[in-house]
Amino acid sequence: MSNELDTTAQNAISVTVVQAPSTVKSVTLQEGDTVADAIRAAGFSSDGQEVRVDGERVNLDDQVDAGERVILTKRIKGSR
Amino acid sequence: MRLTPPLLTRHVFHWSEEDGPALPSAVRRFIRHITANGSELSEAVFHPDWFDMRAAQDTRLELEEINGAEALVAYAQRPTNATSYLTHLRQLRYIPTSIPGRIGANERYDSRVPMGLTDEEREQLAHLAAGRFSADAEGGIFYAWDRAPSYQVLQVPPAHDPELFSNLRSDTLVLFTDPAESQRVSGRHSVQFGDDGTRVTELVRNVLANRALVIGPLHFTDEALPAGEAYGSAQVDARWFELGSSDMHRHAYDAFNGSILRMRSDHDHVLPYSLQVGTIGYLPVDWRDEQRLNDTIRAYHGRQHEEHHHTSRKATEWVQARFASMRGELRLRSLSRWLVSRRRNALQTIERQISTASDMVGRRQRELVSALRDLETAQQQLQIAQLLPDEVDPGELQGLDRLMERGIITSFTPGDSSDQFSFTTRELYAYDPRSQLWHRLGAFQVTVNMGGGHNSTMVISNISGLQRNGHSSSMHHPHVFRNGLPCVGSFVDVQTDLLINRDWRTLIDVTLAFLESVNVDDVAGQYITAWPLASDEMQDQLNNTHSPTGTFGDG
Repeated sequence: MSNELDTTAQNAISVTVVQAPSTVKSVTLQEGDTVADAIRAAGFSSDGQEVRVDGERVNLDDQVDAGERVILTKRIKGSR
Repeated sequence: MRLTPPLLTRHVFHWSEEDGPALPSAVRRFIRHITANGSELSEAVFHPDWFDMRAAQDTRLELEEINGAEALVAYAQRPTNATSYLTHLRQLRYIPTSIPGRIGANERYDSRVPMGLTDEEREQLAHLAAGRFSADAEGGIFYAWDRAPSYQVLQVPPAHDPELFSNLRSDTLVLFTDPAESQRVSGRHSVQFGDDGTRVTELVRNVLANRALVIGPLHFTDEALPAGEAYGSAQVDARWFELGSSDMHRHAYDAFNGSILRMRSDHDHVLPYSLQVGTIGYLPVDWRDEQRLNDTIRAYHGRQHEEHHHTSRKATEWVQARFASMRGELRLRSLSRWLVSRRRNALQTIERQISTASDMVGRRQRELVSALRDLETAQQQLQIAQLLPDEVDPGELQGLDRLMERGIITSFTPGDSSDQFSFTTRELYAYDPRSQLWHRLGAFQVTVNMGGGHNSTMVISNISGLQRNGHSSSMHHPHVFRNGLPCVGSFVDVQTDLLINRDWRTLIDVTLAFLESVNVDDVAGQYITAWPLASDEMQDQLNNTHSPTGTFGDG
């Protein structure tokens, strides 16, 4: 039992989820969890949001790695 | 020679036993006004029938002893306002000499020289008639007393010809400026004009030589004489000669219903005294040059001009009897005027102060609102800053390092202050949903200054040489103008908050999102086609790596 807990702890990763512009949450996930998992764990929704990880475009089912920073921001549309 | 009329005119009315019973009609009216309308004394003193000085704003009467004789002295302070001054004091006219030719063309200045003049006087009149006024000359003052229909005034210096007075008309009022002369000739002013033409000629000469001044309307009304012709002119002279009758002189004097005007000038180029004999009119006054009018009036301010008028013993008694009881009233009236004036001035001062204070309050209010806004921003920034750890956040440091390690940004350069930094991006691509193709936008340098609160700035430039003519010329990006300022659209709120909160890390992420998201529905974004298409290989890579729409959530 204790080995399982240790294994679980060893597989845990910490990810920062930012709802731009100013809401920041740090969530703990398991290795192999996705961007969608991180967003869900932070209590945010990706509806209508643009999602990036460390500045790069990602898909919601992309895997997140430890220390990465998920950014949600409303869809950005430049205009004249 | 600079002769200037005063603003303060001092009228001194003399009387003595020798005056006799005959009073000039104007003086009688004057006395009557004083006695009948004591409460309106200032009006009486400056009644239109007298000198038409209704414009006088501040007058007072005083009994004084002048050269051993009692005198009623009236002081009149004329208004200082140029318009009312010249409007009400119709005796005074201003002649702007900056209009050469106009004066010379005025028919009132007759170039024909009156008989009996010296060569110098002829030359002076010819000069005047020729209108030789300097263009840059200062103005002159024209003194004309045409509002004195019932009396004549003579100004006589000590060297005058005593015989002159024996030929004055009975209602002539004598004006003396010299006290000794005033004493000497007092009692002799009620005289008639004689029938000796030379006497009149002598009078004219005295006027021109500044030894006498005759004021009042003067023109010939008889048909036998040239209408409106100047006395002493060649035509009059010839006419008299033609008629060959000594009665003609008498006839002329009977028809003599006018005066000699004297023009005073404060300019050397204008005759200090000139003579006008003939139909009386006024020179047009050039009201346009207000500055010159004001300058002239200011120059005259405070000067005093004294006129002596002789009245009879009976007038003395009347005036003394009435005036004694009125002195207190006059004093009160004068004091009352002063107090009213003082109160009015005080009110104006207070009104000015209120207006100034009101302006200042408005200005301070605006400054206060601005300061409160700045304070609020600073307090927000302080709260954010206080939440930040003093030590470097390892995650923040690693995050920046990861961005550079992955080549998402190729450089990060801190600025001169902690609020300034710049970074460069890798080559960025944007997707055009219309063609379903990716366009290569190039790499960008983004320079950020977060220290200005709401005035913080972000400047973006294309460092791959991919500036294109889009919505305007040389655009760095479909949404970034030539001057590097982005048209951020929906990005504005997020960008502003991040700048104010100094969240540089999130700002980088969101700026990358802005640069890689071209809004083709926008008039500027539709020019994405001006940027080159990504290579086929890159098209495949981008499509395989990221679904163009997969970046976004389900909404």
